[in-house]
Amino acid sequence: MTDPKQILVAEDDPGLNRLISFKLEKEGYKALTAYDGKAALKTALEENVSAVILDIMMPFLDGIQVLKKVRTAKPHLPVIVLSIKSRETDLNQALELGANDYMTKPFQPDQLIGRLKQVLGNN
Amino acid sequence: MIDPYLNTLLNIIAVLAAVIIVLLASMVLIRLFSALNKKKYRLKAREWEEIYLNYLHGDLDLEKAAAQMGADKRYYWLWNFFAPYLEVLEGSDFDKTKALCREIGLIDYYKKKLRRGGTAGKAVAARVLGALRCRESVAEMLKLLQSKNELLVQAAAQGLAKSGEPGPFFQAARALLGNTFFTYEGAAEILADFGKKICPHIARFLEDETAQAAPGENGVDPSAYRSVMIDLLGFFKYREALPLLQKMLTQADEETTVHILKAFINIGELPAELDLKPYLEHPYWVVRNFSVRAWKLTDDRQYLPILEKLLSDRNWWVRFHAAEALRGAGRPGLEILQRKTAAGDQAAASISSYALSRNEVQPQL
Amino acid sequence: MSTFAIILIFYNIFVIFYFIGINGVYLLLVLISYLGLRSQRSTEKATDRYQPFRSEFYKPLAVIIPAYNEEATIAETAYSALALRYPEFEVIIVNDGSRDNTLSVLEEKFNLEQYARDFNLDIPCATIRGIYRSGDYPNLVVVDKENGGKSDALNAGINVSQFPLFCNIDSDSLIDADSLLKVVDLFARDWRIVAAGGTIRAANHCSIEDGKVTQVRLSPKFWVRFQIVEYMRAFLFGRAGWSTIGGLMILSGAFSIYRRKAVVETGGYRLDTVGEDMELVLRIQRIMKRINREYRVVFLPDPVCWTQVPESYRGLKTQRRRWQRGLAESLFGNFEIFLNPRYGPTGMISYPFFLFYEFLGPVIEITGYLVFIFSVLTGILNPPFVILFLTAAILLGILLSTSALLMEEIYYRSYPRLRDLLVLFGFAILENFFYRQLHAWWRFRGLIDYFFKKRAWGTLDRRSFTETAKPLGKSTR
Repeated sequence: MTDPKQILVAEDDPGLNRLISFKLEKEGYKALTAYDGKAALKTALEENVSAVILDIMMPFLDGIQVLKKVRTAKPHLPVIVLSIKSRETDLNQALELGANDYMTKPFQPDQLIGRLKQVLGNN
Repeated sequence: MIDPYLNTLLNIIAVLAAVIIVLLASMVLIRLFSALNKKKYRLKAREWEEIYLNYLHGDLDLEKAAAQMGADKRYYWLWNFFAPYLEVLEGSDFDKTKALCREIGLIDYYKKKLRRGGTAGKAVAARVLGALRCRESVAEMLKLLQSKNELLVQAAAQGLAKSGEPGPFFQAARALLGNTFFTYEGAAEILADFGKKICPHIARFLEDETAQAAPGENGVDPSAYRSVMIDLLGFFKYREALPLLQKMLTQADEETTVHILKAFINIGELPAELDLKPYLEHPYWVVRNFSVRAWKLTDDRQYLPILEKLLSDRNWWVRFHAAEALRGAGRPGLEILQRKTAAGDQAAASISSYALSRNEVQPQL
Repeated sequence: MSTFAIILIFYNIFVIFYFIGINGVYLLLVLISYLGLRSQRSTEKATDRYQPFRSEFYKPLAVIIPAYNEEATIAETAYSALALRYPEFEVIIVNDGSRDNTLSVLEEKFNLEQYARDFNLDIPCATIRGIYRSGDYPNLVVVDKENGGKSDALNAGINVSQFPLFCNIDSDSLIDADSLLKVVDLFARDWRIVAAGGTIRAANHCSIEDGKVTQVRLSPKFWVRFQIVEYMRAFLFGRAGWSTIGGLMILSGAFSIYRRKAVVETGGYRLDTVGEDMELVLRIQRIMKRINREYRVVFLPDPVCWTQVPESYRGLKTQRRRWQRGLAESLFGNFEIFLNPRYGPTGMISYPFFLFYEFLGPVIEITGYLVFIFSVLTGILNPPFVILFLTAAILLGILLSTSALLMEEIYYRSYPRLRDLLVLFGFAILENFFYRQLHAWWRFRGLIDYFFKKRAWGTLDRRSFTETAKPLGKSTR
């Protein structure tokens, strides 16, 4: 049996992070967690992750910065961006920088997993 | 002669020493107790997390989950636990969470607090019931809007906004503007939680001529009332309101004009055939300011001469936005700016140079 | 009895009543702040505060940082300011003609390039030599100007930024990332507010990473510990209390926010005072009254600003002398507020309090000690009375400090170890045995500086600019 795919969950709200990780694990993935931008970047670059779920609003380094740096190093790594609804400019910027998909909060985690599978399937 | 004084002094000293010891002891006890409390909460929360996540995923049914989580009835802790999830989830996950809260008894607990608690208790209860979108509590929260206590008015308005009913919107708006010292921005931020669905209600209200002219209750300035509502239409980018706003523009006072222009900018579109000239030349600088920014939505070349004039406006912001507008107007705009940098008017020359120098970076001041 | 003896007795009685008065007010302030803090806590629990970036309804803001010879700390401060979470803001560092490498440090670390930034000279200031923007941080602006002192640098910053709000930060202060959101939240809730200030904490020996305080530690330095206790008193029940009754007169220059329009209307910061922030706050109130506009000056008790406090005897002494001078300059520059009912609690309560107790305090204290000693020596007062009275006085001082520590514990708990609190308690006791007296002496010297300065206006003036310009970053607390 193949190793479960590793998905990085970069979200500073610990409850939400755990929720997403939990759902991922139920779906057979392995979840790596990061609670701030710096840790997220480190994990994304150093570990063998198959996809990243990236919150834009994070301490130390925001999601946009992380996305920029990840895209330079790993241009094909699928990234789904999470953001709050009113920050349209952030979302547009993220998509321009190469994010594969996005979800705005509030959201349904199952939908997020669905999008993730789509994005992974496309690769 | 001194003796009674000595005695008093001794008593005072004793009292002071005693109070100091009490304060010191309290400090130590509070520190120890809260550290303990925090640890207990963390353990509890971890326990609850497992139960809750399994319940959400469908591996645990409602009754069992509620029985396990609600066993010791620590309602405030439960609220703290659920709060971030309620903020971030929607749809069936939200409904499931709400059902769980109800089954645990959280909703009943806070409903009681809303009716009978102290000021702090009622305020928290309003927040909790709002976050849980409890429509049953709307009536009680409407009552709180009339409170003399600003905190309660704010908490009630917030709770009503989140609860999902569009009806209370107008009362909440009136209460925020009339019973508190909130600014437009502060009030709009709270009212925005009512969601885009209030826009048709707002539009209908604004269309009603008599409602517009009526003096506000609670001594609310009707112009302020209208302005906040227009701000919300803009915030939600409610395009359908454009014809209405255009009509209102013809009779609007200064303040309302400003907000209508702001709304156009937020919506991203000007009504067809809107003549900007009177607003670009308006005596009130804020109107000029926003009309220049609104101009960017049309790029209509016929206004370029006016924009060029505005480069010499008395007010810095008007000059700045006029220069920015020209900078974004392609060749003709840039040509005007270039010309102005060499011309005699110091203010126009300076702002034009500034605008041109901004061409190399992202639009930030 | 000789007239001399009678005078002594009366003076003794005066000192005693003075003492009762000042401590009575302090005790009242403790109570009032406790209630104020409690109500603030309720507000926090009940409202959805500080959801970062949720609000589209913000007012853009400029963070102005005046800098003179700050090559060592300016980069850290800049990072701290740039890390602030706020929807739209710019950071304006004003290099006030530094003679060290402040500007080159900035040029190098932030990839600066000059550009043709336009601005209105709304407030007169020394010549601006150039304005730079950063290639890496689009919202960082550096203004290079000729030396003019801290007030002048601030005025220059205000000229360059036209945003409706501005925030004044010292060049050696670190600001908590969410502090702008917290403070502007106050402005959004109350249209009357023209100025707001935050709490200052000592950053000495705390761990700092990327411009953020990551670990709070109690400094082992002797002089710092006294100051920590003082600051807790000053902010937790001093300013919190005054703010609650609507009589707040001082905001720290280390972290304060103003409505730009109001400041421009007053003509900006005054150049001829070392207490420029207090002076400005008082003057704003006068202008608001004159144009008949309602206003409020408020205080945010959350500890959001961390700054390096003097660690040496000399540094502390200089600072306190300067503060007392600044206090005098601010009070006398705005004397019309004194006992003027038009100014509400500020005029009727805080200003008189500051005048009689903070301003005159050192004089009364020092003469009080001397007169007490003299009275004992001449037998007018008997030793037991004096001893008991002094004991009561010391206990009262300890009580006030302990109340502050308790409030700190209930509401903020900044110091993670219980041991730290107990150490601070120890210093609260120790304070009364020589620090208070020393402090009174320094302030007394500050008063003399003020009066002496008034006479030799010209030359002393120039020298005092340099004196204030030297550690430019520091400001009146």
